[in-house]
Amino acid sequence: MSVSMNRQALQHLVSDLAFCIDDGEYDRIPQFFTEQTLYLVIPKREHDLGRKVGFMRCESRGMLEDRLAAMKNGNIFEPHQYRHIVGNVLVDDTADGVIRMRTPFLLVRTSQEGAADLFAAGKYLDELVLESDKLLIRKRIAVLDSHRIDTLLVLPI
Amino acid sequence: MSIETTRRAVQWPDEGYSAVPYELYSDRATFDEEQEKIFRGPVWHFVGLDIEVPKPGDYKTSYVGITPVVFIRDEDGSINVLVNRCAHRGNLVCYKAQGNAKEFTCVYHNWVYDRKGQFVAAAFGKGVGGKGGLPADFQPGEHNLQRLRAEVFCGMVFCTFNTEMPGLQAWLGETMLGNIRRVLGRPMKILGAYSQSMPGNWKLYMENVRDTYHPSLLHFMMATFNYNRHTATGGILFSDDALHHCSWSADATDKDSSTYSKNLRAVRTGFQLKDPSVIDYWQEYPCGTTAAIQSLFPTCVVQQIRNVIGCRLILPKTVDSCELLWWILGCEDDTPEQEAIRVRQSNLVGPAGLVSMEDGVVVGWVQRATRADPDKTSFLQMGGRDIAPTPNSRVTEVSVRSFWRGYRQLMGQ
Repeated sequence: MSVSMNRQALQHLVSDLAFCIDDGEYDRIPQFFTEQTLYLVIPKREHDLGRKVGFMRCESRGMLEDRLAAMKNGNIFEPHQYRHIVGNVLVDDTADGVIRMRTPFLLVRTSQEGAADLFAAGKYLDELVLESDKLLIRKRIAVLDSHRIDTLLVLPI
Repeated sequence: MSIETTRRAVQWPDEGYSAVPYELYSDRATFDEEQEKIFRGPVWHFVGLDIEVPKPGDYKTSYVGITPVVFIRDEDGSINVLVNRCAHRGNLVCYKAQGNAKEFTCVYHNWVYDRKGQFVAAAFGKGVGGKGGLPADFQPGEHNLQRLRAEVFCGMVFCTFNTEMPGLQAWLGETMLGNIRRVLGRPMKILGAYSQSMPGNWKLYMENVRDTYHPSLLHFMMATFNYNRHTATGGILFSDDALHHCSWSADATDKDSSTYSKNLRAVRTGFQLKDPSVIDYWQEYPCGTTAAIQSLFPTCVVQQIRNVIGCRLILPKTVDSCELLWWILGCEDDTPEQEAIRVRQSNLVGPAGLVSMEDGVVVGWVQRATRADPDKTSFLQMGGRDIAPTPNSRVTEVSVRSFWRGYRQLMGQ
């Protein structure tokens, strides 16, 4: 089966996921990923060195669900609002049924006190596959330009 | 006519170190005084790991307080620590975070120093065509990079501006050295490194690290998954002067199912992990310790949380902000399975750490809530008012009190 090269569908997926995160549709977030997905948030400096440890590393959709459940049910933090500005998807490769692509992003975090600050800048390195006619993320590496996070990171990037 | 202003000294109440004046978190003059008395005082300061500079000429930049420093591997394998400031007009000599250099060349006017920071040459020092150049009485030996004393223990690089204090190992003492050796006394490698800025005074973070009372109360994953609960066997060890501490616990001894079910917010009895592999661990230490948080005064932490091992360094930035550097480590001889376990468990620590993320939050909250009341004090009497090792309990704030005792002594308060 050949993977669709419909760029609009790829852009839609990335934007849709960003809006899920920003709009608090947490139950939909894991549905974008395969069961054995890898979701890694890591500084560029570390990623370029080939290291595996970043800020968040979910090695399955279940681990991602667990992080979201912990966020909803137990972790303590001041409520805040994310706003993703997602750039254009750039497709690098579509061999072997895997779409490898890159998308830059800026992420503003607005605090409960009202400060709207640039929280992160980076790129998503995504690998997408087709499962039962649905495009899913089997790997997402959110490479952050900075190695520094302000205060805490709880809502996935 | 001169106008003398006498700055009012910090007012510690009669309770001493069991009641901390809030002004210490927000007073700018205190922040400056700390740079002199603590960061340039008779204290050994952690700056980084020797595995970050493996080959001769490898260097890495860091900070002692707000002073930029650089540590470099010399030809004979030793490590030198230098203030990262040109002796000429104060430029930053090493402007890249890491690198390798035969010698240091300041890019501004091409002044050159060797790896010990000794002055080598200044561009056109002898002038050009008989004109210009440095004065005839220029003494090269007076224009070296400022060099600190440096010592390495289990790969941890420490330095001090002080010329007379005891060596590092004597200062830390055998109890503290024993834990560092246990956790880091093996060939190590870096699995990851990052940092976390916090909107609060650096001492608020160190209080949090030395606070053995809060972990299973603030971090719900600890209460819910039996990490470091007060119902596990554990205690607090001190260096002789209690400047440094190590709190430890052994989770396998925690069989109590009732103490933690009494109306504690952090207990989430219905919470189950869909993928429990994140808390998979193996018993790495024969002593059975599953968590040990060690503070080395004033800014360093050595951690073992199950199999997540590493160290941290808190940097003061401004009176109301600081930056916490994290190193997540593994051992060179880890099997692939062991490394995979450490990598998965790394989710527990850091600014997104499932058992640590709230620490950055409370630092900011305490700063916000105390800045308007510098004359008020905290109440630090959990476990008593004094300072004595508690070999069998962590339901105490004794190691926070001992931080303040050490702080007061150094600051002359």
